Amino acid sequence: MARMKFLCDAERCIECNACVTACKNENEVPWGVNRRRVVTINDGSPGERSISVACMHCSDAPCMAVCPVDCFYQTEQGVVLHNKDLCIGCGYCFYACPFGAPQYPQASNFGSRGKMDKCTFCAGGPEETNSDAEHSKYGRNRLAEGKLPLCAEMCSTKALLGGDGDMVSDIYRERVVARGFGSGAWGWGKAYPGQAG
Amino acid sequence: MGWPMVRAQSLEDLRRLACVFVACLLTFGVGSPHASFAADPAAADTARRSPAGTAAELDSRSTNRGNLVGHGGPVKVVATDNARQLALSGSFDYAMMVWDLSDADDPKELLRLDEHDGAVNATAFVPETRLALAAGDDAILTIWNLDNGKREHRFEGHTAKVVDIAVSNDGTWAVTASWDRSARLWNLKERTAGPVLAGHQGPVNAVTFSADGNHVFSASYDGQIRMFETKTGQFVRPIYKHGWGINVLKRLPDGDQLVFGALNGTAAVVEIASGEKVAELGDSERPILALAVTRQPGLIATGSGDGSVKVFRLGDFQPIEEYQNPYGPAWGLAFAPGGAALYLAGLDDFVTRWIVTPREPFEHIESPYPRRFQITADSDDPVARGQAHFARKCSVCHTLKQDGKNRAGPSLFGLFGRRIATLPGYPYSDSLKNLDIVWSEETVAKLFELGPENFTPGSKMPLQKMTDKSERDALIAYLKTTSAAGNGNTAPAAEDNKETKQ
Amino acid sequence: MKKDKAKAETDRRSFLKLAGAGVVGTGAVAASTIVPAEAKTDTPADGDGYRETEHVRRYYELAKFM
Repeated sequence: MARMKFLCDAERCIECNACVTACKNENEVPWGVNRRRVVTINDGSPGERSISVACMHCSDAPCMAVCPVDCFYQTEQGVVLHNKDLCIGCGYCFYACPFGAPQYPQASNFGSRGKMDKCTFCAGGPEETNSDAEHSKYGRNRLAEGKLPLCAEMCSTKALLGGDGDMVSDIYRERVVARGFGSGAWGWGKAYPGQAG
Repeated sequence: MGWPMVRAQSLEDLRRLACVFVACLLTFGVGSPHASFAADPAAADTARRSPAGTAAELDSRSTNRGNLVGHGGPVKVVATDNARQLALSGSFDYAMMVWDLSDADDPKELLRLDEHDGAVNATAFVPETRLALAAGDDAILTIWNLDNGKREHRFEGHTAKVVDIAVSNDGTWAVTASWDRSARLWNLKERTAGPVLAGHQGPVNAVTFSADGNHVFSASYDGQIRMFETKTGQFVRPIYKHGWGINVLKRLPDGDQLVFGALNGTAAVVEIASGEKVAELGDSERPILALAVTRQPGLIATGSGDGSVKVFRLGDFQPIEEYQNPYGPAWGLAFAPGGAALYLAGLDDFVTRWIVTPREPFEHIESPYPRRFQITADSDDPVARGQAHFARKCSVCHTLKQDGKNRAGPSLFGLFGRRIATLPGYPYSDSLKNLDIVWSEETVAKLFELGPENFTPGSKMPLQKMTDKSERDALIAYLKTTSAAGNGNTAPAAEDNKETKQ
Repeated sequence: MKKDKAKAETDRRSFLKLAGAGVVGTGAVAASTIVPAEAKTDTPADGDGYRETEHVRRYYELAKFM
């Protein structure tokens, strides 16, 4: 069975933020939440790089391991999803995640604990597929529509790849061979230990 | 720097001695020590699977070596006062506890302060006073009198959880870091709100004062460390841009440098004046979640999401010790008075004391695993499924035992037939006491169908629903079998043993 | 500082232009070495999750050639 993965080719990302905007529009995410971000490291120095990052849908996901109310689950295709009805907003996943994926909406009605929000790989949530409830809580379910996450589909330089992990790593490997350089699939060692592409 | 270096030398010597000792033991084939560097996953696995003894044995082990035992939920933070030999701990159980460390092997619980309406994420002592501060998920900062255990003040202003507190050296100012994307200053002497420090593009995770108290440094998920003026709240300049979110930040004792830990696993030292990174403190595959610094004997400790704790020397920033807890993250760290031990908070309901030096060659893995909220079980039997639902979704805050075990929520022992907010000894919120609800199958089902915010408005219970009726039914079936009074409470006892047994 | 950053960005973008110019060559290599997508499918016709639809295949092809 296909295993869903994201791959960001840091050599190609031009920090245009189209992925961030596409995600926000497509999923109508709560205010203050960016499910995907472009992180710039070594800002202003010759080693500057940009990486588009959201939930990597890890094998053995650290968020799942620390959640005290069991709100996470992983689909057969490796997508890590969560149940906002169960989430108590404790923030454990926010700190556990090595990619900074979990987000919290700003200023909910009662001061403190909003429900966590994060990238769903455009695969919705535990509600009925393509229902209004699913859409309003988790955003579009593009996988069910036979599509891929919009961030990856929209990426103009195809720096951000998403889909079947085997396909994505094949594409990346070909690319590295063709251009003669590449520093390995960023983040794969962390997200999918023992099977980095 | 002279003295700490001498001291550090002796630490090195002790470590070498300990290694020799371990090597001797190995030669004679005695057991397998829990290796200090390069934690061996195979060894950890063995420890996980090896028979753990009875729950009682585990309990005694976790209290024997100076652990701080008494919270009713995972401990999130720990702070120490070296001069007065006191510790503060904050927990998921909505309480801050105060501990007397004067007998390090047998710490005493002094106070349990539970007037917050959410987890306590941050605690601090106020220098030169008998006051302590607590703040947490309820966005409130409280001042406590350590002599009488009374709350002296309650600061309101943040609109999201508070996750860090720092106090200026003269005890005048406190600063709080909040997920509302601001830091706020509070005048502790006048008990007034001070400036709001704005500008971060994400949750503010950590704050610290300059040595003279005139400036505040804040670190955020937006990857930046920013510098503000204390009196005016004026933004001075960015200190450092890391890119990845910064989780923790401390000032080093010499006053010129900051140390931070980030979500990508970087821990590093930054020069305040130049904004240059001057040292990296190892790196981790998982986020750095905790930092502790002690002037004497000059050490920095980092705690990571993978459970590793690393200790470095101030000055040359060389690593000197490492400890690996394979059972979960290290969220909270504080050096014990004297600096020879660390208090370590993770997913356990207690704080572990880890002796940094002299290094103990045989260290128990003290964490019970899986913890009560981590067990996995699948069954066709609705009661068994209900039991698993209770463990995974409720047990972090509730017990079914008569003794409420200091959990965040009241005990559910004898729940059915009980009127809402009537369990003696539990600090219910006022709005709950006026509700006309008696707990039954129907009302418990309604609570999880509609959510506490609708069915029991004003409750301290987090907003949580179980929308699947079959799951609700299974949970209720289990609660009925175990929480009924007069059944000898045997089932709940068995359930609660899961908390400590493997 | 500002200037340096701007320069770094232009450098990267000009690299991309070069990469774009090389598309034909690279694409040819890729097409000849990659197993055709159709050959490796056990795709459910429709359902809840991912499946290799025409839409998805087109995405992979485009990502290969760019």
